[in-house]
Amino acid sequence: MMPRPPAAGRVARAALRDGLPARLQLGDGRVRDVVRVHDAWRVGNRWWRGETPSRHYLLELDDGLTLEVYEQAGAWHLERMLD
Amino acid sequence: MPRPRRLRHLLNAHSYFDFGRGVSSPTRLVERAAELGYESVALTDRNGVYGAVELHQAARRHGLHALVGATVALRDDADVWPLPLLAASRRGYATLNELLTIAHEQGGEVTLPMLETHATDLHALSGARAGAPSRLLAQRRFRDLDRILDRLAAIYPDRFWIQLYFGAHPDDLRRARYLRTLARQRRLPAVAAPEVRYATADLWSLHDALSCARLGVTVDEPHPERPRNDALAIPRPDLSDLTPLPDPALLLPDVLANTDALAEACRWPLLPDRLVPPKARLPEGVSAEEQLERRAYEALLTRYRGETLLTARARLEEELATVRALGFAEFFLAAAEITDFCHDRGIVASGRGSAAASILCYLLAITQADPIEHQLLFERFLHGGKASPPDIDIDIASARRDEVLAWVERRFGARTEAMVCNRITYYLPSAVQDLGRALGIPPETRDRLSKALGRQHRHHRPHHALEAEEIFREVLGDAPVTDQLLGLMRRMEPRFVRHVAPHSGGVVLGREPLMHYSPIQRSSGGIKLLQFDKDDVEALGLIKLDLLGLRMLSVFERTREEVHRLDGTWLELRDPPHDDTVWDAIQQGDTMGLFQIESPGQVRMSVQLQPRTLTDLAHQVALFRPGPIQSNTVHPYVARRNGREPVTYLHPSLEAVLAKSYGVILFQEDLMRIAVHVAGMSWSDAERFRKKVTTFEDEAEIRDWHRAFVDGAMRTRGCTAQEAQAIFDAMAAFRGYGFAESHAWAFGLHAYLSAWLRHHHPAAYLAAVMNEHPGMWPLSTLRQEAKRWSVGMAPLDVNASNVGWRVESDDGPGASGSWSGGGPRTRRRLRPPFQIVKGVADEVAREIVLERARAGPYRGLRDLYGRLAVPGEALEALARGGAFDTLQSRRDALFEARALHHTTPPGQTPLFRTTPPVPPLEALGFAERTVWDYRTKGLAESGVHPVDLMRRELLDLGAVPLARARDGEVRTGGLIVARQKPGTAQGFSFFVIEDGPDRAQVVVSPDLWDAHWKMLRDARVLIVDGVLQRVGRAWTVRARAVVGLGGPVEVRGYHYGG
Repeated sequence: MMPRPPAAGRVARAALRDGLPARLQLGDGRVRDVVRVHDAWRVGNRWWRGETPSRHYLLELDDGLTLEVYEQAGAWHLERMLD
Repeated sequence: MPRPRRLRHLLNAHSYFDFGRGVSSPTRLVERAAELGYESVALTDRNGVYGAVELHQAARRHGLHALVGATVALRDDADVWPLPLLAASRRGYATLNELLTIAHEQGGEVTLPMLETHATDLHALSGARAGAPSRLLAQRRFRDLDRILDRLAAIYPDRFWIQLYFGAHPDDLRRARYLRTLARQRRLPAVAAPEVRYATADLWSLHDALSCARLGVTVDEPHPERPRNDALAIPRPDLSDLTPLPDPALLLPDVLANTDALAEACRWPLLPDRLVPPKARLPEGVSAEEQLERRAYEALLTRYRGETLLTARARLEEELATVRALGFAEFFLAAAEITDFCHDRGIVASGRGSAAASILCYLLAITQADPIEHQLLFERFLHGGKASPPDIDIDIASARRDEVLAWVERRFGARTEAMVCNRITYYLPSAVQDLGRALGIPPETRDRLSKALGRQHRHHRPHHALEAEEIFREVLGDAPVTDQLLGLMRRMEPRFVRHVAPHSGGVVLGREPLMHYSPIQRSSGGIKLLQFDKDDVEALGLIKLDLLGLRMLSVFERTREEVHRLDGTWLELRDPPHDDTVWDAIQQGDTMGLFQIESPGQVRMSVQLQPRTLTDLAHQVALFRPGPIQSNTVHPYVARRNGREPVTYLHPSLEAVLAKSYGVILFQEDLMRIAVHVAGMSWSDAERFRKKVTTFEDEAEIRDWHRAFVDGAMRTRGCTAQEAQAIFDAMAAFRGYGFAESHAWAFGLHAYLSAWLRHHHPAAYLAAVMNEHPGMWPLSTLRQEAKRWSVGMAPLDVNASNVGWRVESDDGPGASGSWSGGGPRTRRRLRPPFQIVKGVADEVAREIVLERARAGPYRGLRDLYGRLAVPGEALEALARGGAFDTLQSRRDALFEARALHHTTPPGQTPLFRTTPPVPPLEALGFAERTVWDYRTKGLAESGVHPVDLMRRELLDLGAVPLARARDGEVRTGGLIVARQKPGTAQGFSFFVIEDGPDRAQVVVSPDLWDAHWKMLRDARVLIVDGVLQRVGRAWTVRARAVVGLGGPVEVRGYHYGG
């Protein structure tokens, strides 16, 4: 049985290793390991409205989920799921 | 894990010389690159090498290698690809310059065939994100990709490099790997060249805002060319700040090795050790030095006699030795060729600036002031240790400057002559416009903000914007956009370049084609322009000459021609004789229309200083500059000269330098002399010191010189630290613009010559001034002044007026034209030209005159309209301006003009009358005619003054006419013809009111201004209660109360500041 996908929105926590996300706790409360970082990039956002830049990651998790998360001003967010 | 591999070179950096595509100076890029441990920086700005010299100079200071390049826009059918090119040698640099020159001629783009013919010693990169490989791969246009790569690889054999970049975009990592694979498959070398557009990541918002300004969008509008993030800053050499992912393709060993190889292949020195003079024309078998000596010694014997000859000869030998040592003989001969040409053609030209201190320039007739007689400092111009070239400025009659420039191009060759550029840098108003537009601030609000910044902040740099925060908040409120705008400005470097424009007169004459040094582009006015400013040109080993247009010289020239036409006398315009009556007039402040001394401030100064010699006049001209004014030199100078205050010195050692100027610093040379005499500097150091001290913007810029001066003064002259500091402060206060003594002499001479001509040939001189309009006063004021000079004025007349102001004389020749003359003057009058009427172009005026000469006088407006294709608007303006007054009434002429305009094509005489007959119309009254005259021509030839039209009203209000006003308490009034609110006047403002030929300066206190500024801004006529003081022509009213009136006409007078 496929695990129920986590709810989109705020990621509860992220643990980093060598500057990259290594473990995530998503909206469903479950902690998942990151098995692979496919890509990483930055977005400047609307600086003229006071928005801070964000760092984006395309990650593959231990349960097979592939998703994009981003960190902005210390908070982690789930942007989208690719599955 | 630390990354073992590091990037050592930046091969694709852009500076603010990429105009809207980069935001750091070359210097800042080098500084940051050095901090991060890079070894080379290549500047690849779009279509330009504007920053190449600065890059090399900064690189030399920081121990880096500077690589010269540029990015061209390659047009390939419907696509345009950026293609960064790097020069592998000086020859490659010349090739690049030629290619960029073509690019500028072709609207900014080049084609593959152009690259084929301009590829020597150039390396090409394939481009970063906007480059052909990335874009064509993304569009899956593999065939096009093959074609373009094949062509570029063929054009640049072994010199075409696939550019790997990383900009922290999605998929960039994969893209870089793919590009490397592509390179391997095609056997092309891949290099790591991240795209850099600013030094540090905090500048990305500024980059985005200026990109928006360039693209014409606001920050809220998306555009594909806008940056997405802050990854175009200089990355750390291990790229760890660009990506946390391991092993980006850019750091693979083969890629790094290629990058090293390319950087090393492009290292060569741009800046030479010596200056290269242009080629002078020399007689067969004669060297430049021999020719220079021959000309100089010949002139020496004609210019000097007796003991002065010995002094002059010694000075000449000293100068010739310096010129020989520096190899500048041909430069002097080339400059002399230009002034020879001017003299041969009767073009009034005169050298000034520091060149006027050179006896060599004087003997070659480049300059006119005798440096021996006036003890001018040669070292300001040239000295053995000189690191920079001599500065020769030649003023040319402005009306004929283009003729001289055209000859210079023919004589020295189109490929070896061009103008230097001026770098137009950001100040608060221009930054408000560009950044404000990007932030979506409406144009009206931007204009209001620019205006509100006023004179106080107009010349502040954007990074000092916080000093004007109150004004920003007053206009923009506390909206977030205010903070954003201030934040962006704060990030701008002090001398951020916005664009380039032609220099006012700096012409470079090269020995070899100038494209060896710089691309050549055309200004919007078609002027050939180098991409370097005067300092960079000098660093490149080129020498510039300033060929500047000066309207007053055109006045001299026109006066001479008019005198010759009227009296048959040819004035030589050299060495005008001392004439007491001329000096008497200057001492009275009777200086309207004269060079440099006609402003109200100078009128007052003339009365206070009572100049009697050229030395006095040179000092007076020099006193009214920002340098002396800001250093509070003016009042001590006047008080000491007039004996009201003892002459004192900050230190006894200054007496040797400043005795002639009563102990105050007056000239640029004074700074150099003090640096040498007091602080023991060499002349070359003193010159650098002078330049820095007069141009610094931040204290940090002169910190080292400050220390060197204070230490030197204590060591050399035994000054105390306090004394040395006080002297330095006085010198630093000279900041801004001050005259070189030699320059002041040249201008003083012009001022006296203008006074002499005005006194002896008032009608011819006034006609020339009316034609050239070199000064500050409106034509109507000059018309009133003509009454005082006994010069009449004839009315505009379709059968008598010409294309320029002309003198008419009913009583034949009479005035003498020779220097020794000065006999009784005839009564003469001026006739205005057709162009005095607003809306009548030169071409229309010329046609009217030619047709009159061809087919006889006009019989009326209808006759003119039938003979000439005159635009209807111009015809109507001529009728309203009174051009047909001698033939028909003005209202009749106007009626006919309108009727013809709407029924009959111009230049045709129909068989049958097509217009209705003119109905009986009331003739113009006196007042109405005067108002029409002012509105159409800006003056009334009759001499009626607008105040005459409201005399009754003024008398009813108790305002005494100026002519009847006496010293002391007074209520008077007049037409406002000048408004001044200089930033140096501590809030005071000055209004010149005029009543007929009489004028007075009204001094308005800051309190009075604050209470009535709107009324003062809008009034045409001013009634003032105050205290009148009259000394000579300097009439001043210290205002206690002011009332503004509308007045029948408005005069576009002189407005300054506020």
